[in-house]
Amino acid sequence: MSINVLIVDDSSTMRKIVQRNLKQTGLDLGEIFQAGDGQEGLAVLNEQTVNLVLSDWNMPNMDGLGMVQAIRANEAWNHIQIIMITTEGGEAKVQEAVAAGANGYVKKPFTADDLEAELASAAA
Amino acid sequence: MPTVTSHDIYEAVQGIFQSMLGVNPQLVSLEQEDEALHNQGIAAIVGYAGESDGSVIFTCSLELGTILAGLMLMEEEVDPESEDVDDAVGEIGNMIAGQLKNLVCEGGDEVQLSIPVIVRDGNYRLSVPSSYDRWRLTCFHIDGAPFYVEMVSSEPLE
Repeated sequence: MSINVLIVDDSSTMRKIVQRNLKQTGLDLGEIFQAGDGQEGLAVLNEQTVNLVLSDWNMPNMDGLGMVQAIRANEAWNHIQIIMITTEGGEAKVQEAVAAGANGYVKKPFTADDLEAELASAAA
Repeated sequence: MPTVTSHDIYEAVQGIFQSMLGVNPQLVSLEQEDEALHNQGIAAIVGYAGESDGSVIFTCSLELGTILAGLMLMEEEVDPESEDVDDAVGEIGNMIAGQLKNLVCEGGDEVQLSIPVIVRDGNYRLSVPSSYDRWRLTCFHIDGAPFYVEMVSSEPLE
């Protein structure tokens, strides 16, 4: 089954880089959606079927952590895997994201191999 | 609180350029500066605040900024006036600031980054309070075009 992915980052450059790296992972990808902040991300989830969310942390309007909390508060979205991709590299931040419901964490800068390894770990 | 060294700054910049842009910038000079940084064309400024505070400034010519945007996006043709250049330069500044804040405050958890602010059209000075320590890193990139990374910190830099 192909995977529909939502990429959330306020940087259009970073969204393109994440998408490019994602395509190098060998995942069977379906549709790839993009959003510029957490609020836009939730709007996409309300309209589309998404299996995997790759999200930045620091964004305007609603940050990545707020979006993760909102996703986990909605039972209909419990199946969604969430990976944070962010410059927030501290261990406490990683734990905070995991406690909020994130399944994985990739620190910027990152490579396609880093993303693939985290996706595999989150799926295990 | 750990002291950030000039070598830490260079390593952080080098790691980002190698992994995200596939290039290895050559260090030309690294020194503590009192002079305000003269913007070469485009700059990204990212502030940080919390347990420690300061700013990280990345600046280069618009030509080099356009090349860097092309490398990040893997596109041969990028319009120098496009938002792609602002966004790519801002993201470079953001990643450098993210790495450095993790050095300033161990783990970086007690320090928050601002969003990147982009300034264009050069020929002006970027000044900061004289009470802050500042390191300036000069690197050469493609065809000898320089870029600068400046770290301004309320904590002593070594």
